[in-house]
Amino acid sequence: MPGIDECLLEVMRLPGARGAALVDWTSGLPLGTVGDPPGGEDHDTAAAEAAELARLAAEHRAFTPGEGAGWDSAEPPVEDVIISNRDSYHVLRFLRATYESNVFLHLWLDRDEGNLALARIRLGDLAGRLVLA
Amino acid sequence: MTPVNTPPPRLPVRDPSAARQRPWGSVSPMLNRLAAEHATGVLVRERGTLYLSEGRVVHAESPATPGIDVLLTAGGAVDPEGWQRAVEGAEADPKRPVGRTLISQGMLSQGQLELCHLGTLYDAAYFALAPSSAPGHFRYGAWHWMGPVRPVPVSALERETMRRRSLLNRIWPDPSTDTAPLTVVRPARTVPVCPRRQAILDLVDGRRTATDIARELGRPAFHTLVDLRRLAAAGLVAATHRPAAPPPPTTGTASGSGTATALPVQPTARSRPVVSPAPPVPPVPPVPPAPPASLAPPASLAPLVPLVQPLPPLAPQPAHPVQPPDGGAEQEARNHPDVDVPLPLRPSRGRHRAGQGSPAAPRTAPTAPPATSPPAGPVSAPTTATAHPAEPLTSVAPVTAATSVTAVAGRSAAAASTPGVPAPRTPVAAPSQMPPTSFADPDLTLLRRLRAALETL
Repeated sequence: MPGIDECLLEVMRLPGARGAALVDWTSGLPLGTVGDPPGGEDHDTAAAEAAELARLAAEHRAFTPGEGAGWDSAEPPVEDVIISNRDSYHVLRFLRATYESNVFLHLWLDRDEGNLALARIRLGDLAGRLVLA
Repeated sequence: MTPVNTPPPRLPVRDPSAARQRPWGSVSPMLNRLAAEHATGVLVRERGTLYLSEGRVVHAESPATPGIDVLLTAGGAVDPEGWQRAVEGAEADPKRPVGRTLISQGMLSQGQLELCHLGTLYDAAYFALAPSSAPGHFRYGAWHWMGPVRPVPVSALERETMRRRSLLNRIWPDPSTDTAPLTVVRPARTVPVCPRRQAILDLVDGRRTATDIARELGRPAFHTLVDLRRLAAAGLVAATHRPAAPPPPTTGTASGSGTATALPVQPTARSRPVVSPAPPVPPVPPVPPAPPASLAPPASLAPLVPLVQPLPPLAPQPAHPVQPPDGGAEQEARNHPDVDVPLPLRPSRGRHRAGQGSPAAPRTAPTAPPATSPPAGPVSAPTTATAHPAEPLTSVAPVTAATSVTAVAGRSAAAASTPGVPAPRTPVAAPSQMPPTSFADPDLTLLRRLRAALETL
């Protein structure tokens, strides 16, 4: 049962990981950060921008699962958001918590060294362990 | 014996230049000082409380937002009995803080506790660090039963608080939905609303404030503020009553109860959400019982009185024998210690608490014969809201020159020798003909204009 820091350090052990953060997407607050901030500014700016994207994904009806998908409205409608660009990937993984929390894990991954499929699986695993009692 | 070589704490000197150098400004110079001296204790501010441990913030609470207990138990993460036991255990034994107990008993994981506690800490700190009209105070050595979970540097907390203010402002610049009771503007069918905000919209009923809704849903209040601003930006939600903006003193058009509701609202931040919209001043006393013959207003005035609901205690005023022009404003300053009424005689808050009440009664007793004393109705009005217009003028009215001089001497010699102090007040025959020039309180100006208008009728 890791804390925030242990979880982020675990994320950084993924091959090609450049930076990671745990962000509240309603306020844009970074609850924990590790590694380099994407965008070259600081982690606060990167977190605020990633939170804006995560919020749109989580709030818009177009991205919610359809009827009969077994989705419980208490959990976030979106599992993760993946962005790719010329040199890197970004994976935003939403956390499921029993209390009101709008938190996601943000991993910034090097495109050449990283493995997107592996990262996505590991991120989901860690996100689950972080909020598992 | 172990030698102690701890340096004495730094002298608490405020340095505004240091605050200007930081890009985010400073929300609380006192908090920065405490962080610099690695203080441990509790900082109590007007709208919330911050617990510090060695200069870092370990916990925050505010009446404006639900506490961590509400968030954890509302979502079912922790059962209320288990929480209660943990709190009692921590209060009995400081070595067993609640945070550690919850983890050791398997009620929460370390990650859950950190996430939830950090969220509530920043949430409560946003309100605790809101601009306040009263100075905060710090109690060294105090601790919180939650125990340290994930201490936050003061600089990070200030930066985040400033960022949150600008975030709200960017979403929708009108802050009235933060504190006022809320109402639905038009049916939500026309605009798609996500389930999170729909849950908020369902609770908007014209009475609840953002804090009420946050508590009911078990959500952090700042998250609710964000969602409410988005709803307001979409035109779905509005505040029922805007925070009292005093009308400019030059416009004396009192229209019904709209202006009257703004009268008694104290400008403290905490009193704002309490204002209920539907009956703005609920226990407005009816037109006072027929006053003694000498005080009865002219018969032609009687039908006018109900038009100005909170004013009835003032109706007998024109006939009152003594009414110094400054007395009302001075009492006003005493009733509203947070309002800066530019009066040379305004007592300080400490003296106000110590000396108020007792001098007023003896002052009125010898000078005011029982026959001319006002009826008991307005004086014993139940709420401060209604007593406020009535009480000052009735209790201060009979002050004669002698009593006012003793009052000045009793308060402070320095104030008495101030050149701006008006001459000792003498009984004024026709007080309402004196224009209100020496003070700038719009409410009182309004009252006086109304009274003058009534009298001319």
